Amino acid sequence: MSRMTHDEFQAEMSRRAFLRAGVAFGALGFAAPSLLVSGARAAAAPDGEVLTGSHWGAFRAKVEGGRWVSVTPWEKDPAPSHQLPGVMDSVYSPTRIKYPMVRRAYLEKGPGADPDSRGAGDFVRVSWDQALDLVAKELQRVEKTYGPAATFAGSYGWKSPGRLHNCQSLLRRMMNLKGSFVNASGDYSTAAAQIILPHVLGTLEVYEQQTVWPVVVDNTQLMVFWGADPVLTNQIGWVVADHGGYEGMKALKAKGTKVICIDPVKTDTAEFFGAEWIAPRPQTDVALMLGIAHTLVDEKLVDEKFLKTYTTGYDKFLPYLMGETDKTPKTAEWAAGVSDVPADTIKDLARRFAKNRTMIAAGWSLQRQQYGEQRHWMLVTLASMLGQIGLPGGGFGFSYHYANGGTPSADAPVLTGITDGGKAKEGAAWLTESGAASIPVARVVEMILNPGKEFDFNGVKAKYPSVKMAYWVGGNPFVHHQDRNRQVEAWKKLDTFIVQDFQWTPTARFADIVLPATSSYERNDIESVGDYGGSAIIAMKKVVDPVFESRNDYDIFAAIAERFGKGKEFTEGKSEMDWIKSFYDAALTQAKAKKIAMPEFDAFWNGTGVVEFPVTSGKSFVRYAKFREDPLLEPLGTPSGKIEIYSKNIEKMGYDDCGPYPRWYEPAERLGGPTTKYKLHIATSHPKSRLHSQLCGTKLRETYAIAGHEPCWINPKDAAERGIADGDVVRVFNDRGQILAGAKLTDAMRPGVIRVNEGGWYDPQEPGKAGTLCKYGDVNTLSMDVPTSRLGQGNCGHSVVGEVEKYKGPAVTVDVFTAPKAVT
Amino acid sequence: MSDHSKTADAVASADAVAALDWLSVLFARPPGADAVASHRRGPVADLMTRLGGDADLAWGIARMRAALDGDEDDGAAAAKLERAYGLTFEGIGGPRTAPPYESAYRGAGPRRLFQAPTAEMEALLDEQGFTVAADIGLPADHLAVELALAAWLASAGGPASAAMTRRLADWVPDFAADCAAIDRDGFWAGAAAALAALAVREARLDTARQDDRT
Repeated sequence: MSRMTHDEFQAEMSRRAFLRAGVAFGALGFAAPSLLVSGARAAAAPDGEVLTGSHWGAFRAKVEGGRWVSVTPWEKDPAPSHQLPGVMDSVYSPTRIKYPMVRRAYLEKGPGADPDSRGAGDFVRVSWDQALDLVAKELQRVEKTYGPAATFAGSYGWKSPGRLHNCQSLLRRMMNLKGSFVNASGDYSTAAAQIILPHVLGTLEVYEQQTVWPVVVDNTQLMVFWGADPVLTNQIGWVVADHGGYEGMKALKAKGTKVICIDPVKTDTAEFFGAEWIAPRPQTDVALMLGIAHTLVDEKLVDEKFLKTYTTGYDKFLPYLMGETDKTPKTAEWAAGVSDVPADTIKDLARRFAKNRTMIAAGWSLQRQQYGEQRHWMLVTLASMLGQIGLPGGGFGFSYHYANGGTPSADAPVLTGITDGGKAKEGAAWLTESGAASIPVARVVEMILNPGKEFDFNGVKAKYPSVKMAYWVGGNPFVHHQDRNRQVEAWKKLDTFIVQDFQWTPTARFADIVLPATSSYERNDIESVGDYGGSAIIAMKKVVDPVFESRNDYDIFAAIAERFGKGKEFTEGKSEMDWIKSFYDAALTQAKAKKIAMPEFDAFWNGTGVVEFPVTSGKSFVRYAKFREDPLLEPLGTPSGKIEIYSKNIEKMGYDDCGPYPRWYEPAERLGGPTTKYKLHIATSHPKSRLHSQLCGTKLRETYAIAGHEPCWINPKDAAERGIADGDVVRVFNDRGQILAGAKLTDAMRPGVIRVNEGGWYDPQEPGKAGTLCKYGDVNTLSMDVPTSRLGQGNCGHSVVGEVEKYKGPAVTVDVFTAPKAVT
Repeated sequence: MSDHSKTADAVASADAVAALDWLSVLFARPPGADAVASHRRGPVADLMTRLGGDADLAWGIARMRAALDGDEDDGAAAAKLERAYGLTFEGIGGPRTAPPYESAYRGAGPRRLFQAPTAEMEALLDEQGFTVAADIGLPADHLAVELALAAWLASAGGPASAAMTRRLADWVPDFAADCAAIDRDGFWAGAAAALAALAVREARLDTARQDDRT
């Protein structure tokens, strides 16, 4: 292949033009790149299909001429997600980050320059070497100048699956080699529950196997989905989704089991089952549970034997329930006043729960609210009073809605992955103990705004570090964090913000240095299928070559580590395929010991690319069955070994927002609240056609956007009172911010509650300006950035009230520069 | 061949090839200070003056010149154009992006890159013995690449050149409309408008020539 310079190219054209028309044109007067070279292009990978995996499930990618042209769900997926085409769309999105880029002011003036211009989109393209040098130099400067607790690398979010290209582990692996950093604990999904439940049950609970669906189908007489919408949310998995939950739900429906959905929204799950819909005021679930519990006591439906044998502290909870401690008996009538569910309905629920083998499947939305810890604690208390915990098809479950919990577990080996060099915690991949300091993950803005401020967290006191720099991978905090305007102001305090991603997310737009990463489909990796089922190990083979100048996270961090002289320590001398083989071989060793059939790596990788495992004992798993059978030999991990309705450990903490037993706390704002200013609750539910904010930038958006905006579901009665028609552009607002949305009138909304799904990409009309209008509809512009309590410090993404009106402002679509119609 | 097409053809032949080459360079990467200088008072300014005399191209060229007419120095003007380039073309603006790729306008799905036009352009480049320079990092259906090939073909004339012009005329007007809706400063919207006008006019003339022959 011979390279023709632009001048030579132009000279050749000039010669041709002169020969044709006698016209010779001169040089452009400046250096210009030569776009074309003579010779043939490199051969593309052969045409064919590649089996790979994603959060949305496994699929076959058809490749032609080196391009990915279509998606077909894996034939063994029982319920493929309609979102799969969006995955391909994201890879080929115009919003791919194509080259390393640096914010202009930062590049010209250095760290901390002109922070107000963050988010304005003024970036300069730089070379990879320049970008990596900048990153390495700044990491070293911040550590040398301010110490190890000045760089936040507790990066959080729904990164891509894959055991090697786990960008968050890789980031922390590099940071651990560099020195240290500020880490984060917990997550945005279950922060309150994963702190309170170990006190109550001795386990995280939220990420553990449920009583499996076949047992539920056979034994459950009454299935209750409380703040859970598994038909919608089980589309996705943290690893490669297996969609086993859909088989269970289909079987339950086919059997005709009675289903109740307790939710302010008539969910997809309610529609699927033709369920009975009970719609309380949002955030009043604890009151509703207390009303049911009071009825159980009042009507002598409590399982006293269970409480005595398997729990502690009921005797201290009971006086509160009956109003002996605060002169407010938590009767059904009292609960009706708070929740707006009729007292007769509450009593009826208590009777039906007690009479039937009842499984209460609660979602995590319940605990992403102020005082969120109380919901799960009270639900466990209620289930304890019913006495069905540990019985087939009875009790409670906190993960039927997540990653297909309840799918029977296969007899499979554990697939390991690359480590971050810190000490991993059991239960969730992102919980580690590395770092110079650690904060509860949802307090990141609080940390930036209040360096040195003391905070409580699960019985420990600590101070927020003074962070000057943040490095984010595999997440989108400018969508998933609460109170966007507060966050924008906080970010101005950072010297440097680095984002490594494959798309221009709202977060990337607020960065100083942006590094283009490959998507999962431009690299090789390996992953399990099914978070709970673990039915297979799948080769996530590269589908297409990296597009533009994107590089693998592994290679990016290795290059940064190399600049610290730690490149070899980072890679351990292993290539991408070396790592993948090592993970597989570790699983193979386990499999051989357990006599589980597994091929050697080469046969796996070069063969079908998937190895499946049998399901045997997993088909009959009943959560807490062993504990119920023998609480002395199979105690829980609590101090008492029993379910703790009263926690002495929490009592010792002395928190005013989380006492030693579950109780009703009036949130700062709620629908019908005594001091609440606004008349509408804003439900910030999960979207049906996104994974949080992932795929918002794809063609899927066209299937749900209204007038180009995120939908705002509203009951026709509420809409009529405000003069809003279906399809109108509306402004949703409160004291924290304002967004535009598209009105969708529907009876699926309880009156008084509107719904704007979380995950819509933040699109500020004036980036960096406090209170500016979000033109697309990022509902976290409206949510409040307060902790669930001093115990859990989780986020309160569902504690939102506000108002909605028909939008009467200037059109936000720019069309004033429309060119005259082209000559035709 | 009609008198009208003769006149228009004469206008195009003088600078059409140069225009395609210039716009290819422009859309490949935003201009630096030296390039802005050329646009303001150098060889490109001269070319723009000539092109601006073409009634079909005048509006677009005028918008470009208006965007260059500020008081800022060449470096500041280049920075402004680079910011607008990023927001308009690179995806930094999110949904309000005018992707300079044929696939985004003619692909299987709206706004999806690397579709059939990429393969078609790779084949056309192959026919001419070219491939996209690896360090450019652009797919073959990026506007800059298409314009580079169009310039090459136009300098030789013939059916391949006419086909390339029709190809551009098929999607560049939609692209230009997007640019007009996004690019507030107007330089890129003007460049796209001028290109769209040129491509559509040339395609129409070619059709007229074919009709005359038949």
